[in-house]
Amino acid sequence: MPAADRPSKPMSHASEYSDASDESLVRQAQQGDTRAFEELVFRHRDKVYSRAFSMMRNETEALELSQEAWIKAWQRLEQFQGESSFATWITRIVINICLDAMRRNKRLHAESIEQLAEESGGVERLLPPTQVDMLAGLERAELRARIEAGLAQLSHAHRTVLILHEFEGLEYKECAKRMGCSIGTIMSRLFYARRRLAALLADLKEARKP
Amino acid sequence: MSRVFPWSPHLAVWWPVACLLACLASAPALCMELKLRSQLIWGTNDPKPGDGKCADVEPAIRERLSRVFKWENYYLVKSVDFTVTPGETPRVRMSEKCELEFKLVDDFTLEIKLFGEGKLAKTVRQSLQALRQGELAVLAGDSKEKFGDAWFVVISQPRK
Amino acid sequence: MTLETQLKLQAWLDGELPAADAREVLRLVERDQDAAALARELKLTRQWLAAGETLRPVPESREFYWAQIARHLPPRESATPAVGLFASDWRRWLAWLAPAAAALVLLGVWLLPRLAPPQSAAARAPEIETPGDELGTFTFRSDTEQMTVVWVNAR
Repeated sequence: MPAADRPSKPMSHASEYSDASDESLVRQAQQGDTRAFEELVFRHRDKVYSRAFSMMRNETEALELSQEAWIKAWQRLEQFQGESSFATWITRIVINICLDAMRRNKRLHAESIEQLAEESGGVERLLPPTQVDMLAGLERAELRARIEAGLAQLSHAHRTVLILHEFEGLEYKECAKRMGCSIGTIMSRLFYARRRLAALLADLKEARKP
Repeated sequence: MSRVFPWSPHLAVWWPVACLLACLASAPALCMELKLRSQLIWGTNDPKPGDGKCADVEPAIRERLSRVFKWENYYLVKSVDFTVTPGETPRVRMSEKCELEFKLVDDFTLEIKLFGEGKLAKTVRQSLQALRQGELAVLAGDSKEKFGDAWFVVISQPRK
Repeated sequence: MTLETQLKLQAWLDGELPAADAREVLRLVERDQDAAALARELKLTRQWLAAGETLRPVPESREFYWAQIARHLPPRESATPAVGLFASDWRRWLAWLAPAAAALVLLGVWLLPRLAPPQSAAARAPEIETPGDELGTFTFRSDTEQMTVVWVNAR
């Protein structure tokens, strides 16, 4: 039997799991080893939950959807062939689950005022562009906190397009496919989201001035 | 000799033993009911009022609260012992404005709903294993009656 | 600038513009102050977002989070066939081993919770899960006092 087809030797000690690579754990899990799968969950749970929370902005939903993502990953383990990292693969699963949830709750439809804003180019289109890097000099953690605060104020649709494009690195076409809209809509949503974020961060800086 | 799965005489010894142990193992799940205690406690820096409406909080809980929170005094306003069984959602009235509803979601989780003035204020889920091991689940907030004071609803498993 | 031009400028920055359009946008940015200012802002926003996101830890213990998942995992059919060490005699062995093993496992399931020492507080977090925020709340836990607190703020 070729080496690649031989079943992996089962791991017997807890340390073997914690020392094993993701690929090795996936192989074990594909053979039904739930302990290997548990190790994968332990390693990547924060990233998966974090992505769900960033999209849904609700702790309960994020917990449920992230758990649903793990269950789906277990069911689809054969489909993971190693073209991307396991972390990327499971993150894509949770993104799709969150997008489905948003579609069910109609959260991907831009609210009417914002939809009008998108169509007309948005109030932000008329604002003078921000020229000053108001976040310069901030520690990374503080910068992330400010970004988080700004993102929290965007609508689901606008936040999602930023997450998919900026954090997940998806191209316009892929964003459009996942969000179920045209590339043109992605472009205008992204534009609106970026300008709105810049305006929000400027306001946050003002609010924090003594 | 039969090559079918062996229903042989020595199994007559093992299977009843296995069945008995199966019953013992599953007994807690089949008969699960949860005894709980809910205590409404007032946190304040004021001395205990002399009207007799408050009692002393048991020392173990008072000490745990005082190590976490800033108030000097903790007084027991009301204590209720009750039982939660699967399929039922008992409601416990702690005060005129505060009610709690309990539900065993599954073998692992207790759901607690806090109602303030009749409206659902908060839903919380607590691990049953943690409760059985002495954990306190605490819902708390600022007192509306007296600025600076606080109320605590402490849910625990009463010690036998 | 029209919206269409602004979106082209954005696409140029994102590397999504065909080469011919990209050259046109570059010329626009070089000669038009408004276009240059907008490009600077969009670049700044990308720079900020490139700092990454705040990683948010799962607000449940490892055990509790896994338990919620494990309950729903259907059994997987193993890719590997079972290899029997005593393949030729497996029925004879099974007659004794199977019920004996089953009885021992059940004994263990019943006995172990009664024997296991209490877990350390760090290993056994109390897991308060908050399925919905009807009011502003925050949750914190004290490991040393074995207490989880949900502080309810009325808005």
